[in-house]
Amino acid sequence: MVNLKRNILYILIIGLILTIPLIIQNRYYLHIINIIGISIILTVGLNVLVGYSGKISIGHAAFYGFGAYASAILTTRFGLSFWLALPVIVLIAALFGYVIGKPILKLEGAYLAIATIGIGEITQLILMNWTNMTGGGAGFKHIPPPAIGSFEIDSEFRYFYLIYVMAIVLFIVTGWIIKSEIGRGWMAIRENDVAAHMMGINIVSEKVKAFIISVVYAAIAGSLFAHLVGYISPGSFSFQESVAFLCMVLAGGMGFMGGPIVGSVVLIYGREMSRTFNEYQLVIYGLLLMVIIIFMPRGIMGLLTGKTRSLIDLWKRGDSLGKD
Amino acid sequence: MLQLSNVHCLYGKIAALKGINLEIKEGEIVALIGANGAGKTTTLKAISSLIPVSEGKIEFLGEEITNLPAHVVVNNGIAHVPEGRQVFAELSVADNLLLGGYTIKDRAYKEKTRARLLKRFPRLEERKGQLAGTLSGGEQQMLAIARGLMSKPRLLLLDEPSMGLAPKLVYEVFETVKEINEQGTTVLIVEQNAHVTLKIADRAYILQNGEIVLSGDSREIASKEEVKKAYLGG
Repeated sequence: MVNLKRNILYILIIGLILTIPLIIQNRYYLHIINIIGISIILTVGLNVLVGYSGKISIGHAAFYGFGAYASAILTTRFGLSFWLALPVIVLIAALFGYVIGKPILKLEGAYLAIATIGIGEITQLILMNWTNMTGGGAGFKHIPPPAIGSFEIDSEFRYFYLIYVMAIVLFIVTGWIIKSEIGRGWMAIRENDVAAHMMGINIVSEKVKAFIISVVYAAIAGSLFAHLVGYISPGSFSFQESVAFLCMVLAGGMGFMGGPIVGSVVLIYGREMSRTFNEYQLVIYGLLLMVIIIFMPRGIMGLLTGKTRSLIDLWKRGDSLGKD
Repeated sequence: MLQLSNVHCLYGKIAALKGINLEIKEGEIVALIGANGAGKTTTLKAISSLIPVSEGKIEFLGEEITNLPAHVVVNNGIAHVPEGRQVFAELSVADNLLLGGYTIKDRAYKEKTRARLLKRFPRLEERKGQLAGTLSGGEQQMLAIARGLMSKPRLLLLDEPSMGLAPKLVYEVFETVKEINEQGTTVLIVEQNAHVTLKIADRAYILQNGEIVLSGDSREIASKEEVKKAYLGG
């Protein structure tokens, strides 16, 4: 009974989401909503890594950029359709995730953070300097819209359905994985990796799995982004973007399925509203991160569900961090 | 069932174990007793492959398991209940138990084992939806033991189950260990609380500075003058 009720609720929510473009027809707002959808895809994956397996990344704009450029290059220079390019990109992204994840996930905390920043910077350099492939600093122009036969997905309205159907599917798949043994294993690693090891969890391979998922989702998001905007440049995949995505996961609430959605909506809408402060965005994100970590370590979702305990509470009680 | 032959372990250049020989037969409770830093926990960690063995051999059920990956060792039927309980604090009691059976693929079987263990530990049943970090010390220890039993181990390694518990709870924990053993699980228990441990154990090994200095029947060991002096408080 409970399951049936819950499923009906889910279907209602999904139905409601899919009517958004019928209500909001302003192109500008619809564009922001599409960008939010892309960001949700990326941050749902990043939340698997950061929120569930407890490993940080401040370099996911690199994989976002990889997806965007790979899709742009495959659809223009190699003449592949968007639909054929996507699975190719997913496969290569998974391979990248494995090859990069395996060595760097041996690192913890600040060291891992620095390694992921390094990946972001390397990607920036490649995008800037591999000029004949990527167009360098001038960017990559004329990325064609995806098409089904002669039906081109070339308006914000049509694009909305492409993005949100993918986002919903990926969200549901992720939810299943989180509820499965794999998800429970990730949470065990996050809570206590020594004990997780004792339970027979192969820590390295489970962490790499989480990393691969986050990389693949980022690449899918990147591909959607490239075709949506039609023009990409390295600036869209900079360190600042990596920080922004991490902020969305943290602000929304790590380890909550709804966290990335809330975080993406709040931060992207907030960013649009504060366009005038563009240069100060990193400062704003920095301050935001500090406020979140100190006052609401499990983000907005943590506040809503009452599961949050801020550092201040712990400090008042004379407890130390991470101890219960 | 388990045989350690001349096992050496190093922490950097410092030898923590200097040639341990130890044997456990099926159905026994064997105690490993020693002071702080004698190498008790290290011995358990060597058995469950949490630290590498630099020299020597560990055999389980006739097969060599030295330095196999830790998850393979669990699969082979050895469960390790760590020192200080180490429950997954932010996960529910029910999830903690499921994680104990992580290596079991059969879900129905796992559910059944969990139901059986919850019946066995009624206090965990009452609190199965609660976060493990909110349990009391004694309850957390019971949870840690139950979690260890989820993988249906042939051999259970218990590291200081009485640590930080009130005397009444210590008694309860040891009663549980005895029952588990009577139901067919072999137990290797590491303890500082030699007094109680020697009462439930069949045999005991005394560890000093990474070497076994004494071994034999528990009662025999408990009656030895030097043991009384060093571990039983006179």
